[in-house]
Amino acid sequence: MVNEGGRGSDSQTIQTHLAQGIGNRGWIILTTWLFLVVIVSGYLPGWIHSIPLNIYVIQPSLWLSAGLLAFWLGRSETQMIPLSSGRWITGTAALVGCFQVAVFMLAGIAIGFGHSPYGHQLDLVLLNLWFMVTKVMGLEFSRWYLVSVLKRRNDFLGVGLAWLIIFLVALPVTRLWTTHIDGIDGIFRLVGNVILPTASNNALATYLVMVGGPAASIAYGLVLNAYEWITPILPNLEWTLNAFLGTVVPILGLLFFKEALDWRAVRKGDQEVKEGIWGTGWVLVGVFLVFLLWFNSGLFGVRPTLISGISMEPAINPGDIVITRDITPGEVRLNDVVLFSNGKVSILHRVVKMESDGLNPVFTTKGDNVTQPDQSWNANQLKGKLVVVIPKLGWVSLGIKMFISRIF
Amino acid sequence: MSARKSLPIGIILMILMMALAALGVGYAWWTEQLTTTGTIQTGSIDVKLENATVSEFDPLDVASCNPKISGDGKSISVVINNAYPDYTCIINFNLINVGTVPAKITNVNLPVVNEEYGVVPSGALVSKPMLDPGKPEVANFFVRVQPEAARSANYEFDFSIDIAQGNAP
Repeated sequence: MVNEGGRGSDSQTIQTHLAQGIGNRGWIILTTWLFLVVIVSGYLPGWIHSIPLNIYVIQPSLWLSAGLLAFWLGRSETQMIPLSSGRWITGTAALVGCFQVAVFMLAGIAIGFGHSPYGHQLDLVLLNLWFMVTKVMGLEFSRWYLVSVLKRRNDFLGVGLAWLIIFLVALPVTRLWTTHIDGIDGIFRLVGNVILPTASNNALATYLVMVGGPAASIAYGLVLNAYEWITPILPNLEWTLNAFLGTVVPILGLLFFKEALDWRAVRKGDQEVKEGIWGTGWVLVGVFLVFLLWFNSGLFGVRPTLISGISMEPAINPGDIVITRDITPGEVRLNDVVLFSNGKVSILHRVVKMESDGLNPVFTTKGDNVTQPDQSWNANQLKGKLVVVIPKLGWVSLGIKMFISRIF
Repeated sequence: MSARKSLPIGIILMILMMALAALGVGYAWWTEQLTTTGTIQTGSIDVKLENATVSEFDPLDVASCNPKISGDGKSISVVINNAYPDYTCIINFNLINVGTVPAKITNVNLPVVNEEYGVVPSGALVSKPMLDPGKPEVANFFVRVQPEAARSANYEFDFSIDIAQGNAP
């Protein structure tokens, strides 16, 4: 493959490469350096790790060195992505960061906040910002160099490789190795809370670099990190919601950015905008499908159930869909409408009696529309409490079921 | 930005969404497994001994048998005073699973049998039932003083059981 710069081809001898100095090897040098930075900062002996010198001098120097190396390597290349594509694009990238912060803030308002683990005296905030800014600079200049150089070699794989390298470097390595992974549950949490969101943020940042240069990806990265390091409260979300938002919101941010660019292009009239191969619509449909899948699996703590019986009329009718919320036995009150299941039968009825068999609660339920109470249920069979009834929505599904059962 | 140029990012997004979907399905499936089999990762097993009472066969009405459950509920110490040949006492107690998953008795640790008396497990200790969380199970054991034992003898011993998770082999 001969690249446009005419710097040489992969098949040329090592001697030629050496003669050209760094030549096509810049990305290998930078990648090696980045991994060294990660290894050194992640595996410093404990006593060095705990001193302020590490976080405020050693690590910032390492990240800055990577950024400077990328910058220096980039200066000697001919076809680099410009450092900035103008204020409008950089501003929009920062806005995408704000959008992401806003979604998490809203989730926090809806669900609850917890205290931030970072210090908030002025001197600590400044030192933390210093650490954060150096890391963002180091990562984004490296990303800029890698995307520029690798994309030129192969439009498709190059970008993927650049994304992968920075993704691996940006993974919070110390957290990965120091977190005690507690069985399968821990692996799910790690993938959902750390790996997927990091991958998603990096996909967005890679796109920003391609379109707006490091200025855009730095603007995005700074907004995102500043929020995390400065705000004294952070949303305290269940890991499932955190994983979902952490992965999906950068994707939506990317769509927003892309749409904003298209809108601007149309307005300026300097480009015909076509729906691309991965059009916004398809991505939105994908996000929605994943949301439905998660929602139906009860991963957000609420789950939908289709009602097919008449035992709760008039409050709940056949064809209604009810949303139930996971609750603990202690939260059940008399007259609550509660979902029980013994594995074979699921029933959504009103609790009419609560007793104890000596140690554990035993619930008796009854449908509003029937005279006899049901069997007794124990705490293990409690599946959730009714939150809201959505009338008639389930008829589509019921109709299909009835139709199929008539045919076969 | 043309569609072709941003295609790699589009593919990364697709992979991410598929990974997210797989994570959700995988986790939902796994937690469903959990609720049906009660795997130990989320459950604890802990069985306690409670409410020790005594019934005696004491025709001479001179002996006494005092069981005492240890503070942690893990063992019973029994003190028998003034025993004589053929004196028998039955120590009744409840086994209660205070954990969150079913447990079963794997071993009954009888005291080293003195040649002067014997300890015979009975009830739940023999059938070794599954102990469901929160459900008390009646258990007991006999202490029988041998015919050749000395008169007015005093004995002391401890009794405990070993447990395992209910679905253990």
